[in-house]
Amino acid sequence: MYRRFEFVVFFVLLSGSSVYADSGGELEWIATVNETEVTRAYIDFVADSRNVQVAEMGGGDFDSAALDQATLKDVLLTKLLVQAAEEEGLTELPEIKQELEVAHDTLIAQLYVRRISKDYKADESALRKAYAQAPDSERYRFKYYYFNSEVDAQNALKITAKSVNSDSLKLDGLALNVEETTWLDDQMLPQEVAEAIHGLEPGHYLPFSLPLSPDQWAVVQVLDKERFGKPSFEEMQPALEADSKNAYVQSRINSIAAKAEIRFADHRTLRPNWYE
Amino acid sequence: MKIKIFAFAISLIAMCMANQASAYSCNNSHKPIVMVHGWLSGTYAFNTMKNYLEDRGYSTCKMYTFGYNYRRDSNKTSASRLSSYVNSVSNANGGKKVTIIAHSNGGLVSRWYRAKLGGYSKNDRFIALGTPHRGTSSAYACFDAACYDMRPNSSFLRSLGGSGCQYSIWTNEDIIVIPYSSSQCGSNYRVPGYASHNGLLTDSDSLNIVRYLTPKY
Repeated sequence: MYRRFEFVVFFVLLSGSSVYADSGGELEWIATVNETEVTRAYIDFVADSRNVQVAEMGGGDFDSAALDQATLKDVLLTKLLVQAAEEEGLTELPEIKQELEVAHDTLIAQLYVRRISKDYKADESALRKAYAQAPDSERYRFKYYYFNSEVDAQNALKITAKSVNSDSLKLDGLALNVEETTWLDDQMLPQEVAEAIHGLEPGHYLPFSLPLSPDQWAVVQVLDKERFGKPSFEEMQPALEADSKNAYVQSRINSIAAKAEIRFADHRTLRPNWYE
Repeated sequence: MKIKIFAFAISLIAMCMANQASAYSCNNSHKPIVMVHGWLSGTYAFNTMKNYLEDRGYSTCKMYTFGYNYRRDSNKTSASRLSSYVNSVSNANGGKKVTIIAHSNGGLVSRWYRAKLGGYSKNDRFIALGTPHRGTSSAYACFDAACYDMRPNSSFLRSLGGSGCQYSIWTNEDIIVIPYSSSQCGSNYRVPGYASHNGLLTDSDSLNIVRYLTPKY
């Protein structure tokens, strides 16, 4: 059983004083919770993080002492709850242990990726080259004719031809449902659709039907098309830099993976793309 | 009798032709709408809403669906992409300001665009549905780039503060935005009855509020 009295006494002693008032700055621990030390380093980490957070929020003149007190209280309470959980055996449960392992690995991996990201240096000439190669974008609106089988969709497709708008009346009658889409960027379309639509004009049909689900297929007609030029380099620069940084981080990760020896217990195991 | 049948046939044909004509016609006086999806979602998320608005006289040709890569890009990067996108939509519509309707994390992307990237100059109506304006603890369970921004007290949210909001539609049955009160910012509209987080995009009461808040012109 944790001892509530000791916790209350310490909290009372610390209330109204700075975090380090009692320690005189010489001890490594700031407080104990049921004889477990809470170190200066631990409290500093949490307190500094919160002070930075508040400062970034524009709270120039905030009550630092009050924030430190609130931080200390939160830390002590957290330690207390962890002790209570341990006493009740929560941390020994297999599912909790699994969760702790996943949380640990994920945090370490994310911190490592963050470190790799910090190594990235933007190269303006490379960004400008990427900008020069970036194509103008196109936006499309489509009309979907829905059928509940591939056969029906294929039969409907046979009666279509390029730039024959009158066919749409026939499809209107055959299809289970007809729907117009909003404007969609070519970059957001599935690859096979994006490749197929280039060169198509309003009124044209995709040369193949689309499987939307096991019992829903669509014949797709281009309704509208709009081409718009790419923004200025300055406007695109944040996105170009993000793409470049992502590529850099991915290449570092790939080089780590390439040197790794990874074996699978079962040949049927799904393998990630970079491994093959 | 023959004249009546003939007239009926003519009106039928006229109706079919009108249907075909309306499918290709576009009311250019309508205000463009840009829809921004959330995490683990895509441009398809707004299909029901699109149909709902279309049935109530909004022009599909003025609806634009912005897609972004929440796995790879932080919300700030996605917001810069949204900025370019909205510029192009506005330019294609005679310089008109756009309405933004955003769901979930899409609302955070939109708010950054509005508050930090000069978005107010191109966007004068912003409706957020189920957006975790003050973060959601469910974001601790995901590790995509956008997830870090959605966590309570993230540096993204701290920098954003309370800026960029206008209208927020929320539900107290939202188990993705935790606490659900985080989805309130600006002028708030609660969806009556039961509506889940994703249900905000399809629930009839929610769609009715969206329609009420979305100007046609």
